[in-house]
Amino acid sequence: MKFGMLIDLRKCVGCFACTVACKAEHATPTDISYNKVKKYEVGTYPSVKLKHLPMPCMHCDNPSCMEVCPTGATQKQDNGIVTVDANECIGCKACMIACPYESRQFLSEIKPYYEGQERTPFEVYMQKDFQVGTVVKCDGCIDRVREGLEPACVQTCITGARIFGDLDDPNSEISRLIASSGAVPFQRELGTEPSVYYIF
Amino acid sequence: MSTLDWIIFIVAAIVFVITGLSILYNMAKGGHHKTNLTDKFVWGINTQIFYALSSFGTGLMVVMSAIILLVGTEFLYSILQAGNSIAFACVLSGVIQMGIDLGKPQRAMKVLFGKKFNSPLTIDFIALTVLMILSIIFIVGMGSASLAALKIWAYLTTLISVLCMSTHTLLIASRFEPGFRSNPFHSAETFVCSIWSGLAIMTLLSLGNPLTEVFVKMLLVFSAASLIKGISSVIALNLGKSEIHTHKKAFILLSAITFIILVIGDLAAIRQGGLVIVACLLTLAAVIVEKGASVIVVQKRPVIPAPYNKFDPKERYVPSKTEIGYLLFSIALIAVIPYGVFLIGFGA
Repeated sequence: MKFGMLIDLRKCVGCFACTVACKAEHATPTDISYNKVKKYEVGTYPSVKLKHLPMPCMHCDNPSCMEVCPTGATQKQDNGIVTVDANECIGCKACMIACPYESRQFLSEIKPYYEGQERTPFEVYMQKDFQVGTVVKCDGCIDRVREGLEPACVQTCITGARIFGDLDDPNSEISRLIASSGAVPFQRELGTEPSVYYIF
Repeated sequence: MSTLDWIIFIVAAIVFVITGLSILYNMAKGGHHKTNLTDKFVWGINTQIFYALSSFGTGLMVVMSAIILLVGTEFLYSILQAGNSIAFACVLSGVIQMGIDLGKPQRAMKVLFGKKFNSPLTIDFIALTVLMILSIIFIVGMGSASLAALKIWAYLTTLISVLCMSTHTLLIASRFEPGFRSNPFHSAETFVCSIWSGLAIMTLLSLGNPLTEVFVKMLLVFSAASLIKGISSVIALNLGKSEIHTHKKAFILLSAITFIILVIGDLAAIRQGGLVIVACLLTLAAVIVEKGASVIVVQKRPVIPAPYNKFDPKERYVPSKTEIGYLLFSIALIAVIPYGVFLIGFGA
């Protein structure tokens, strides 16, 4: 089994609901976002369009971040999801240099969202596994996936632009859609074999 | 030791202690991470100086090994010992700089147990540790060693030093753009700069010695190599339509000035004195600038290609006071260790 994601950029409206759902699911500290959405322009003035490119971790089959990790903190799980073990990470940031998708962030501080206020009890509880001085990234909502649920970003997408499923199963919805739409991974020429496909 | 030597030692030791204590205070107060590093600039001035100092150290060790293999013990042992203690101080100080940049430096030993021998950081960690052990062996145990023992030390040191130079290329290589836009000369530049800086330090140490002339000529050859490698990488970057940053231009300029100074000195038969010292100092400055180009400028380039990076914030990296404090600490350490070695009397 190899989990993957298909993002149909024709359906993405740039609502950032995926980003918010991800933050709510993981209670990521300030300045940390596992699910970034990049804005870009197409066309030339006056015929210009603003478009969006959601950029979760690509959970590559051949992850360059895992290759350079000196302690083995970055691991690829049996289901294809790439994870970081915060207890093993030394914060060398070699993986951040190696990742061609800017999927990783360094957690330098856990601070409250509003200056002068303490973190809420919810934040304190949810952020208990975050370790300052380590590198963090999208974990593909691995806990949800193990329970048979979809990742939070997929479940929350209002236009159904995100499809999650088993890439190894040729009959899964994601495999059929990839085959029929000609979806491709982002920067596939780098050879990292991402598990996230896009319909541009 | 003259009065001046003592003054330098005491000033350096005071700077070392004060900056060390202030670093400890900063760490206790706010953790290890009071830097201006961001998710874009993940490695900053401390990593740049790590590269520069390890370049000086490894280059010096290769030059020392070459001296031992070429002329054996005829060369003044005290100069070799001075070179070795400076190399040790450079490598140790560089390692501390790198360690400071870690998010969890207290877990650094996990690198050894990770068994990830594909990771450049693992190889670097092991190679630098072995290099420091070899250096300590030279400091304490090579005074009365036979030529055969010295040669074995030189073989091992050359191998490990060159391994370090290679891994320092690999550490940054993963950030280079693929194919046509990459810089094929980066590895050669790292190697040449390392030997070049090692030769510059050895030349400074051996001023007044008959063998200085050989070092100055070698320095001339390596400044030519640095100049040509710098120009080649600019041509490669131009071909790939990549931006040529100020660091690269400054490196070429410094290499060119050094080369010209050394050529003038050679034609005028000047083997010693101010001109040679200037050339050596320019060499060290050029290598520090080159490391800035390798570490910091490389990170300026967008990771995500256009047009997707259009609205990315344009970030600048300016080192924080803490990072500059770390830098002072390492410079003071480089002054303290060699003087300490001579005070104890290993160089006698």
